Amino acid sequence: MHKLVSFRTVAFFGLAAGLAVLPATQAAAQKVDFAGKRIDVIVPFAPGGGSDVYMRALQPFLEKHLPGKPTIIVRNVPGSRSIPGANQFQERAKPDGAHVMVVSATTVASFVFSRAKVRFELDKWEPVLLSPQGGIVYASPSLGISGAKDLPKLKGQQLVFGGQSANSGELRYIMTFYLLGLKVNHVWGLNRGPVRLAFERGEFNVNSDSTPGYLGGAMQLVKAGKAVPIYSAGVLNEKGELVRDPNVSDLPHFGEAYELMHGKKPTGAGFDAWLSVSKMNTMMNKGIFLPAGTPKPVLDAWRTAISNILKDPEFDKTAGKVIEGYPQFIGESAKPIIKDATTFSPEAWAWLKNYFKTEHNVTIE
Amino acid sequence: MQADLLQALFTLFGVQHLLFLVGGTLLGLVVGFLPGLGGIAALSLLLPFVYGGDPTLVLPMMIGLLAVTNTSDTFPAVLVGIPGTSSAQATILDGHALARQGEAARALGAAFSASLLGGLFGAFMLTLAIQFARPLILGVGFGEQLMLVVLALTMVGMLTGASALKGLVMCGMGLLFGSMGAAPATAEERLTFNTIYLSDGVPLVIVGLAMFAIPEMVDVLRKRTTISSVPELGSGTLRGFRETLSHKWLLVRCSSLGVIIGALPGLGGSVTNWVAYGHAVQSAKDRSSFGKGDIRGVIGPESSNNADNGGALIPTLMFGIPGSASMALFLGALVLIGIEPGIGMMERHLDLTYIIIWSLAIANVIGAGICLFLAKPIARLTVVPFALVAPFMFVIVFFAAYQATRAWEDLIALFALGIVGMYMKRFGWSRPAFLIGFVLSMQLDSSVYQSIQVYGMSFLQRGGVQVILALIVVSVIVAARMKPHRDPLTAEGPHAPVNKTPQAIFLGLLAAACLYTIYDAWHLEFLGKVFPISVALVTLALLVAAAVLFSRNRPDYVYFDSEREWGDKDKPVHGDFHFQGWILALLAAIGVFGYMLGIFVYITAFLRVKAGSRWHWAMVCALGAVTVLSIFGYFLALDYPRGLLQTVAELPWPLN
Repeated sequence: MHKLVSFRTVAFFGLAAGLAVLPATQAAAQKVDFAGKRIDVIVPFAPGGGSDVYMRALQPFLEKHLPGKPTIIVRNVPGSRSIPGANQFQERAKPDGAHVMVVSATTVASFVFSRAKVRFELDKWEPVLLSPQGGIVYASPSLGISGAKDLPKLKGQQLVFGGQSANSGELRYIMTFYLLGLKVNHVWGLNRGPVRLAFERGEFNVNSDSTPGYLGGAMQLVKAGKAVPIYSAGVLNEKGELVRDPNVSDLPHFGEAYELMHGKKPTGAGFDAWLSVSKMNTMMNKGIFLPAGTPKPVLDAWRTAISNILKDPEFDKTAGKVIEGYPQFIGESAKPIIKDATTFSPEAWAWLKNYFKTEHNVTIE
Repeated sequence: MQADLLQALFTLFGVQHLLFLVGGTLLGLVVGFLPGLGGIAALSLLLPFVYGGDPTLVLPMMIGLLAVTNTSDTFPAVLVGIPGTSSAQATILDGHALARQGEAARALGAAFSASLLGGLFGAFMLTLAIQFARPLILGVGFGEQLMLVVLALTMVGMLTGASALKGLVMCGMGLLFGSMGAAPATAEERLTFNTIYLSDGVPLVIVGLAMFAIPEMVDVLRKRTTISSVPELGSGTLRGFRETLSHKWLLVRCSSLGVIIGALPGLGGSVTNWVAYGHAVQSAKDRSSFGKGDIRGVIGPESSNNADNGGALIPTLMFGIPGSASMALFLGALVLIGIEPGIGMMERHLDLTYIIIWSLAIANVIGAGICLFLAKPIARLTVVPFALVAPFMFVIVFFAAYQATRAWEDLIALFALGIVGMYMKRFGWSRPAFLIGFVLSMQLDSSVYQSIQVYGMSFLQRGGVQVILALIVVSVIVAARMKPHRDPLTAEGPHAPVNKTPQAIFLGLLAAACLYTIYDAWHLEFLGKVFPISVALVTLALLVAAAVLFSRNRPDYVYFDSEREWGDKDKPVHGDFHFQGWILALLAAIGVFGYMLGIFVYITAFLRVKAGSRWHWAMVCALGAVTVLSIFGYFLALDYPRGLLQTVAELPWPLN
């Protein structure tokens, strides 16, 4: 994985250069002092999940780099696709820099798809850090494929895929199956662990994982000849174009897979809807937010601390793998992504609504 | 291999390593003892200190912590009837019954020695499994999982109480109650009354506390002045230890059950202890004393819930797939210290694997040793006047409930279900049967759907499925032939058709709940409604049968009212409503003043009014409770319920 390190370094320094505002605000940030304070971080998931590990990896470094070296308290408020945790943050958090929210792709999906229950205004919160995370689709060799080039062979074969539910973090994968014209039997109500076990048992023959999950776990299946990676969900570059996942740069992204399958570049409302979902699931995979109305000096103190953490060699060595090689978006640079991830074009929304209804019998408002 | 195994042991006996292991073990004992907190809470606290740490130090600490929460959780379960974690629920049935007979020390002695041996057995099986069990685990597909859930469900047959009919109704009610939340197949919401709180169902911790802790505590408060009916404690710890040894085969069987169930992702400690209890009853020749203080009812679940950890580590280490919720957190920690579990764990991290195994074994010895040592002094709690203990217990139970999702609804759910639990106890509707239905509900629903979605009906042709099916048949036959030990039917006893109205109302409410479930599910997709509607119809049919027996007006086991069990002399002064009022008062005090001030007011008032303490002593005790809980709150980063006061005024810590 040596090549990743170089990408990461490039990404960080590129980012640091892009954030030319930061050095100027550093002086103002000095005035903010959290000495002796306890900072309350809400993680809207159970301990041990992706968002929890993400926050806890950052925790000691935030304590080190925030002005005044405050104590950080992580509070898990799990359940109901992160709605209660986010609602609680909306209602209780004071804009003083001592109340922080961790957001994941699921939180964003709840915000977009479950308007009726949501009392929080995610799009108004102030982003501190946005950490994208890619995803990989892999299949069983029993389907007779050895890589992306064999995609057409999957046509007409019965695929079986397991996941949590149609409108969750797996949306970015199942939409690709539909757009590729694959015949998939979906089995819902399952967490990632049991799904991978079922894949290993041969009960499912196509599966997906987040890229870190893939590199840490399913990669061993690939080495043992029990799984074949086909394509990645890709990431979006600054121009909003789909490019390969930097952590698995030898693997084609979904756009390329579409071309291999259909012989033409992907276009249309379906692909646009998928791009929006991609922003939601991939680009906004994890993030740290402060409440709306947080004063600028406090925001700057947080953003400076984050950019210092990303430069901290100690972080890179120990906890860096939670952000594994993806460009990180600090402060203002995250806002366009958040806007795109939470607003769909009317055509894309109509397509998605119809897709949910006809393919999965799910109604979205 | 043996050389590596010994090498790992020597590593662990270094001073620093041993300190980390003992430190983790002590923390585990504390959180296990406190209801509502378990390995997950404590492990998430340790996580920030884990990074960059030497794996040979932090692994023993984490394992030490996880290994013993199921040991110390027995204290509150046996002594007060409060499950310390959800793995200790089954222990209450006989363990707490023993404590009430003044045999708390004996029950604890048996429980801790069973925990110790069960834990060692789990560590031993993990050592073997890590070499051989891969194909076995891969053999358990969706069909086999479904059959295992059904097999666990047949244990209900052992726990129905005097009336099998009423026991089955309660199992059905548990299944319905457990179906609350998002349907596995369609993610549609069921029985949520359009609230966010109920969209994941009521947390297991709260159901467990409501079914056992609240009814038991109120019962003791009403009946006697102390938990134990005899004033002196027997010298029981060693006797309990000996009894565990004399039931060695029960111990081995229940530990094996613990390892197997622990190794299957999805079924955790909350199922294990019930299955082990059911098995202990099933395999006994003389079943008359179960539920009334049979030591085997303590040994079974206690050995299984410690063996469970060894089992849960098998998929965690071999597949990188957590075998339980706390293992999910452990897995997160492993990844952060640079260990990648999964295929090849044995080749890549052989030394660390053995460190994990040895840590598990040694932590079990240390944990059980400390608990055995403390058993006798802590058991003295059962001879202290309960009115002195009760307010603290209520406060702890409310604290525990609030840790479930940290919402006010947790406290309301606890209160409402606690009242239901009290009437279930009073009218003889089996609470264990309800809990088994509850913990297995979602598993049953999803595994039926998943098996059929993947295989169609052909899953029945799988070899593994047929083997478990045969076991299910055997289990049902044993249950059907069981003749529970029952009180004789008399015109005067608790089973007489006298003062039927309260019982009739309860039965009517159960039927109404079934009807509401059907109404609620009616508009869902087929896959979302098939499970709740089928269960509701079967339960309703059973309820109709119960109602027919009920209308015949002659003594029958379908009738039961514990109020008729007392004679004229020992009849308690206060009825049900009196103590429901006292629990409601706690809810109100917290609602107005917030948790810390609220419990101060409440404990003071309770000690003054109910225990007759002097005002200043009552206040000192209340202040003590506030101090201890504040310190815990500070170090464990806990959150306490807020009241109206906190919304109108800024208060300093810990009152905020």
